Amino acid sequence: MFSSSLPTLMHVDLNSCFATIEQQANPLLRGKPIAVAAYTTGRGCILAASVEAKRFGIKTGMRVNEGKALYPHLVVLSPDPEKYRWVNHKLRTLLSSYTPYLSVESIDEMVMDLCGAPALERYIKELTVPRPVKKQGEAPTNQCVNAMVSIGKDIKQRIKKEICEWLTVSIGIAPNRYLAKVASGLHKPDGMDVILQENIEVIFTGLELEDLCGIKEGNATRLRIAGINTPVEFSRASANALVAALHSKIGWSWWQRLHGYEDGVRYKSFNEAEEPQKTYGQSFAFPIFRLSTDPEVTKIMTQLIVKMGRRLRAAGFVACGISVSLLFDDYSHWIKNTRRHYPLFADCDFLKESRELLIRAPAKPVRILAVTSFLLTPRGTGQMELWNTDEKKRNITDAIDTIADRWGEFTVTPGRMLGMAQKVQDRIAFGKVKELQQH
Amino acid sequence: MAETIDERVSVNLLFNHLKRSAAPTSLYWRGRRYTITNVGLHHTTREGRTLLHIFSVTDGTTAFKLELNAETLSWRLLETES
Repeated sequence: MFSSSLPTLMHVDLNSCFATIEQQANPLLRGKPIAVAAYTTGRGCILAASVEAKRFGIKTGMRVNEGKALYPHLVVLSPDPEKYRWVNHKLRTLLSSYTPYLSVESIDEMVMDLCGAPALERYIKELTVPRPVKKQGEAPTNQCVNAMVSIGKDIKQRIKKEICEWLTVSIGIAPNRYLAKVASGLHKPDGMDVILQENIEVIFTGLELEDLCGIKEGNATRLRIAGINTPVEFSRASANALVAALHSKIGWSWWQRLHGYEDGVRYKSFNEAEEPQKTYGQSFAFPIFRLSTDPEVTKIMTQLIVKMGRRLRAAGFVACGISVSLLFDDYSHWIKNTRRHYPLFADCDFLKESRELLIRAPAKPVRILAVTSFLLTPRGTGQMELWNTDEKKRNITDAIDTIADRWGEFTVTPGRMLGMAQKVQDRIAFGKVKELQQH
Repeated sequence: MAETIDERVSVNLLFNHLKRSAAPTSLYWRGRRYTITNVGLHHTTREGRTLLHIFSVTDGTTAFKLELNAETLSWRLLETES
């Protein structure tokens, strides 16, 4: 049994997103193997490799020195998040012109549902009118597929014309989100594929279980133990067989996904507000590991707290808890938190609490430092204090925030940040869609 | 490898009323004039409330990242890469 829904879901995936945008910005880099890495030093993690670099086997997640071992002339660039957010914003605007049902899955992935959208109906009509006799008996699925493919081609052309001429997208079309995502990954870069009941087995024939999004070592092993060795067998298996194979009700979700139904589990809903944020935090990966007792670590922590405090207050929250966590060079993890019965909102308070926590950390080289505020409540709620009010501190904090709103971040900073050798760079949170949408 | 410059520069900008586009055409920096042959990307960002236009351009051999401050109408050369 396969879903009778029309293939109105379209998954749009930007190919080698960051690297392609850098090639767009600098035409001298076009056609060359380049990589965008968190740090350009040897240990820096590659965030995106260009299409040309991928041909040499360079992949996301590799270290820069691993990439250079594969191709010594690899051009390595630092990320420029403002460019990527701008392209994401432009793409979002472009896709919104086809349907209001647009879901931004990450910085480089968007899903559109064109079911009932006037754009789809217009394309169906345009494709049907010139050949009324031939198309008279055509099945609605074929009409829909043709229209969706035309929309896909149109999107590709418009991206080149209106956003970036060098940018390519892979498009997947299917009756549900999962199969649309699988389809978008079949031919990269610049591909477009449709998965339907009629061709799903043909498409799956050329794939391994691990090629399916969401199937990695663990699930693949469980499936193979149950005698399911290929995606075709996976799609033919009954729901009960999948539940038994995966030892979980997740098997039922997988059956739905593979049969063109929405499982309602894996993806964000269209245009639905995300759940209110429960924490605000910032983290920093040290390019050169530093002891937790190093004053530079406290300076970096101060900068993280200023950034975190700004975001927390801009969202209208105060926090009653703060935590500091460290990942050491031996990959051991340390975390401590503190809770207060009164709300924390000023950077100086967050800094005082977090320094008291950091003093207790083992003196080992630190790879990653993170601060997180939690137990959030909306500002202005809760019991007002009669004595020892924070009014003065609140006014000063508001004044500093107003200055930052007008003149930019870090215009007024804690003295501890003066003369900082290392600056915390702006970073893209891949899955944090909410902050992309605020751009 | 990109080199951070962050210096004030002189820039000629052409607004084309037919295409409704604006793009820098030449740049004067450290006593030299560079003719811009290609505008790779034009995006905007904000520093506080100030709108900044960022033009990633090239003269064919060197890539330049130029910033136009929409409030003061002043230009800065942020980075070069050759």
